[in-house]
Amino acid sequence: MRIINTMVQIRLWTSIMTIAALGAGTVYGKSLTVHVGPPSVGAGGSNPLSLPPLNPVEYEVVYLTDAGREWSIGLVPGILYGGRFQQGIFYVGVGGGLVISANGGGPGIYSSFGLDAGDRIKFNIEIKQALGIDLGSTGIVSPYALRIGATFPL
Amino acid sequence: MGRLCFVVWVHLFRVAVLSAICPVFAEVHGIELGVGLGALEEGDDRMRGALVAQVGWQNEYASRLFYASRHMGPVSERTIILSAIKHWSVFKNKFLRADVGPVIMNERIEIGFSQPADQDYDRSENNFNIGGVVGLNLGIPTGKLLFETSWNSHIFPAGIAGIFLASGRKQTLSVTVGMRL
Repeated sequence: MRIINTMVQIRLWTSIMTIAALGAGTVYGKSLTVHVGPPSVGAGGSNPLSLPPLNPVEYEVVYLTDAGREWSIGLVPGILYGGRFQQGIFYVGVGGGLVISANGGGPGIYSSFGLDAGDRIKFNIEIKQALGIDLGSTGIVSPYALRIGATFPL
Repeated sequence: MGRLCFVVWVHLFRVAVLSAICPVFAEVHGIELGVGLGALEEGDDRMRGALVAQVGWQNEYASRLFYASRHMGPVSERTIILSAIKHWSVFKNKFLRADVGPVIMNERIEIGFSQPADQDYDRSENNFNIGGVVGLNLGIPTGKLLFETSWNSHIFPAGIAGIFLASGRKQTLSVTVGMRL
């Protein structure tokens, strides 16, 4: 069972890299990305995506400006603003904002890594992690999410 | 597989130490060497201490090793996380960089009883995972001194459920001090 799991993981990552290699489009442009995927609201990991994906916590919208600045809006990991830095079809995002988790929320920072591959409507997959201070308990919240979606040019 | 990668990494670390002895080799390769302390995510918002070792190259690539262990009576657990990182410039800033790359992790759990009568119940298992790392790195970009603070999430697809985007994470915080050779 462990070998099968390892093979599935290798297959998943090689599929992601293959999709990345076939993709095109490396220029910033105003766009809107709709993400779906299960967030981790506590510590450790996330549950599988609900089928059908009707849970609002699984959605996130990312608005990218011409200047390479992005707004991310979702129940988890929160409402975030930052810069996007692209190399080919891959990009990283760094910024801050209101970090939200099941344990609370407050100001914090985030970083993300993703790929945007395709011609007009692009396939997108992104890992986003956030670290914030919970204003309720003065503890730390650190949600993350692995999500896929589609990027629409505006 | 995890053991093989660990052996390869230790070999690379040895090469880095050798480069400290031979400055010409070091200048050609631009190797960075560092050790430090870190905190490794457990569950329920707990972190535990870890040792960190790092080998970098040309201020652009790095390999970071986390090692943590704990013992609870007859049970011992060892966690090894080994990542290959590309530093990514952000905000045209030399101090702050994003980290991305692949990662492997092995968690070994052993149950070993000291009493001979109980040793039939000894057990061990290895949990090996492949994933990706994403994070931020704040440090001194130039000079002989290597100083880096890092915040990383090591994300692993949760087996077959990874198709439905289920994943596990080991979040780490670390401080690494060393030198550029």
